Amino acid sequence: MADSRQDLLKGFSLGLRTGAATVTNIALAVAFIVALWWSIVAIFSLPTFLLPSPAEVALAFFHRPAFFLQHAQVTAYHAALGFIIGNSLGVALAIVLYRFTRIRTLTMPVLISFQAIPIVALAPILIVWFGTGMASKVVMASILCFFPIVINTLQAFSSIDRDYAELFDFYRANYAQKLKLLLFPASFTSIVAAMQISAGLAVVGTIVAELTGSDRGLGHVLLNTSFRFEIPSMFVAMVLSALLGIVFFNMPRVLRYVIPRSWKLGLV
Amino acid sequence: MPLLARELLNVGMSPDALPSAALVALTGVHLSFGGGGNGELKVLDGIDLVIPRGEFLAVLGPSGCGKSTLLRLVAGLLSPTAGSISWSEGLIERRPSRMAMNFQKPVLLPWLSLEQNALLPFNLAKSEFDKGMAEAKERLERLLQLTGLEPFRHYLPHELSGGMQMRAALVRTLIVQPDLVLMDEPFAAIDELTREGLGRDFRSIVARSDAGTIFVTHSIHEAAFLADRVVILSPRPSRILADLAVPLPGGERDISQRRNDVYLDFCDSLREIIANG
Ligand SMILES: Nc1ncnc2c1ncn2[C@@H]1O[C@H](COP(=O)(O)OP(=O)(O)OP(=O)(O)O)[C@@H](O)[C@H]1O
Ligand SMILES: [Mg+2]
Repeated sequence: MADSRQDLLKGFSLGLRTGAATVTNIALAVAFIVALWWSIVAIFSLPTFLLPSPAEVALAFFHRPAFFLQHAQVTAYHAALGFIIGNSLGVALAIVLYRFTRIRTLTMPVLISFQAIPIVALAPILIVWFGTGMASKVVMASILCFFPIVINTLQAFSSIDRDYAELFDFYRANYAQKLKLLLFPASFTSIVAAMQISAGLAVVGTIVAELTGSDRGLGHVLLNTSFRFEIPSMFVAMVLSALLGIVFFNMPRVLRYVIPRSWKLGLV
Repeated sequence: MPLLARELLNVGMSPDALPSAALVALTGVHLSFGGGGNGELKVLDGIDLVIPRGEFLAVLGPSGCGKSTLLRLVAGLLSPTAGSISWSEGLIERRPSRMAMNFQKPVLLPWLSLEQNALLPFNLAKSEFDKGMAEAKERLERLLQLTGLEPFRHYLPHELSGGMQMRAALVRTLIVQPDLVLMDEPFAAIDELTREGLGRDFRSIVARSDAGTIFVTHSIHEAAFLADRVVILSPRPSRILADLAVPLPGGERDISQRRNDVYLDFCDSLREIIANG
């Protein structure tokens, strides 16, 4: 329909504009942090092994950019895989649990209390089970992503006005119809917010697993450079991790502009 | 028990068998909302009611007495705590096409346009409708004209006023051609004149079909003008205070009948019954 195409276009240009605004804001924040960092180093004349200046860090990066970017790419790839797997399983479980009220009331408290566990503490055993390769990183990232998505999706589904559920019951809608026309559109905003959290956690999980045991990735670079006391290179890895986290956190927002504008309104 | 109910529910008949003229029969229906911290709340306290085919029944009663609850029971969305309800064949099984319900709130989906909202019954229950989408679209056009919503068909619900949302819900309700129509204060948010017009049109739509109607309203005049029969509920826990036939001719009615003495006297007697509770 012409209308929905127009909506999509409107949404898209809106997306570009807010996207541009986000990038500008982040750039400003980064510029501010770099300036602050630089002046601290200058004012207290700190030695490189305590806090290298931004210039030294930049130098370390441009000395071997391919090396750093390759490792960053590995981390990004594993985090992305973990994000996709964790979110898919999380949404799938939420769909099943919402359907079966009895199982949901039994498992919800468990799921919520699982959130309090420092899941990163599982890293060593994951390395034992899955080895130092890709699997342990992806599994760690998936597990971290999983819980916020399940819980937030379920809570969003459950908070929908009873009247709407009644309307769909009246028309004898099946569960698939309910999901497509009611539950997902109504929960869209909460699910995107939960995905942002879990995208950030995917990067955290991957790096923690890399720190615990790996021969690739930013976590690996962090550990190795710290052993060798290559402080500027270590800072490069830290800065790249931070940037990766920011990029991942903002990625799910893209969904808001891909999915029709009217979905974002939620239930009033 | 009201006379009609007694006639229709012959002694010795099993509660599931329903005389052919009846759409729904409630027998000694009690309903309580239970437990949940606030203790038991008795809402309906022994309701006997039969809705025959082709009859327009208005329900009057004070706020909170259980009118919406009564409609939910008739729609099969709630089960009675005690007593029984029987429906004519297929009414519940094929509910999306055989019954229509206008909820007290508009309950429009915010992510669908007015038109898409109105077509929701067809999209959710395609197999229920033999003639399908083509006929629905035709009806849609007529109902949009009738409700004055034609220029707004592509608007999203949040772009409509409260009364327009209620009218949009009305289009969704009437787009199917059901045997039983349940209306929960459909015109509450609409101005007096539009309300009169919509009421008259609504009555003529259902009068032309063989549908039965239960119409909940707070307006004594609306009840008397639109209905063939008026039931008055007492305050909660509610019972039927009166079950009266309206002394106006059947079929379509026009506004001039509202100045009729018989009509005005009838309104007065309804008011008296309500006031004396
Ligand atoms: N789902 C529910 N759970 C518990 N109590 C309920 C529920 N629905 C309704 N009630 C209670 O039942 C009583 C009757 O409610 P109902 O909505 O049927 O009233 P009503 O006659 O339609 O009122 P109004 O004219 O204000 O719409 C009220 O006291 C209400 O608090
Ligand atoms: Mg009500």
